[in-house]
Amino acid sequence: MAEIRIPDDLWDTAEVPEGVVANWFFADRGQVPKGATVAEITVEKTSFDIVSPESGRLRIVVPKDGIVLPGTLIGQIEDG
Amino acid sequence: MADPLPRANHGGAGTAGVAGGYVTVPDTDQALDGLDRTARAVGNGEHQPGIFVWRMRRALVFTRREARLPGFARAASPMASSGWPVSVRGSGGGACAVGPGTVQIALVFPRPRDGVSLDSVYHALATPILITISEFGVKAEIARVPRSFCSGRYDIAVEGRKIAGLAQQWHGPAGRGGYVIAAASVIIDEDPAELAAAINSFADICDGVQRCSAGAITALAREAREMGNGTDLPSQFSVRLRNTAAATSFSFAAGLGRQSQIDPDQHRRAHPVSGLRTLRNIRSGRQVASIVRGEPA
Repeated sequence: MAEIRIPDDLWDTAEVPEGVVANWFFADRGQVPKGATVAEITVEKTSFDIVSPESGRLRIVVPKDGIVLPGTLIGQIEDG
Repeated sequence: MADPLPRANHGGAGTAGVAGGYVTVPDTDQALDGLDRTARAVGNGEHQPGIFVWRMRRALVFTRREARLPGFARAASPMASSGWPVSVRGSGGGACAVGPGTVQIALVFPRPRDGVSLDSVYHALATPILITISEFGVKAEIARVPRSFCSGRYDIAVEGRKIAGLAQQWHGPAGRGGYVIAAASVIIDEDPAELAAAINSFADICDGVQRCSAGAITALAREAREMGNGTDLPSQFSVRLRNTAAATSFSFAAGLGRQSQIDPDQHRRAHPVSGLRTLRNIRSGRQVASIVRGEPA
């Protein structure tokens, strides 16, 4: 199983407290190819594509409009 | 590869003497499409990272999130009829009003794998804007302006009024075509009341678009005490901004592993490093100054 995380050092939370999941581009439990853009987060006027690290079945952990921080686990890629 | 971003010379005297520079006033959709094509080429290694400075015709530019609002199409048609066509961009934030009196700048580079923060990119983009504004005798700072349009932590303000807004788009996978566009719109010679009125007119029709206050917005033409050499102010600003951006932001883009198309020595001769004094007065100036020296961000 592979993790989909917000990069740990993506932004300084002292400057900008949080981001938000703006969109998931695949459905929960859907098949995702490696390298596909699976989600978009928005942080302080930045739209940031999140890319799948592996191929497999997507499990969404943080849904659309959910709040995220650097390092947050937002999804997982399961085998199958 | 020729620049996908159109470089039709607007004919203004402000473009004279800038080798390779361009100031354009294309259709907004054309400009945004050209920027996206350029960015894809940068991400694919077909085009060098670089800094692009241009001007656009009058338009309202929205985010993709706003374009999905239920009332968006209903509001777009009457706004276009009243001289404010609508375009959609890929970066975050909110509605922004642009015109020939605003100057656009974009820093475009391949998406890095890790170790580069959004904050460092914002500072790399803000630095040349702050320096160029100071050359007109105006002191600006990075500060959120709450009642302005497209308000954000990295607004650039003059005495509490917004003069520039910054936004970013990190697209695709690093190392496989991904790219970053860090872009700003600087208000040089537009009427803040007209800009605010256009956005508020759209917001009156389309719920979910943030209203703004004209009193929270300013323009360089209103603030500048040193008006330059008599040519039109947006052209003057465009030329100076491009030169300054090449000297400051070049090192940032180059430090990400690719070589810029811009010759750093040419532009460092044109812009003495005295600009570093300004950098040290900026919050996180140590970080930004190290970027200028070419050290890793």
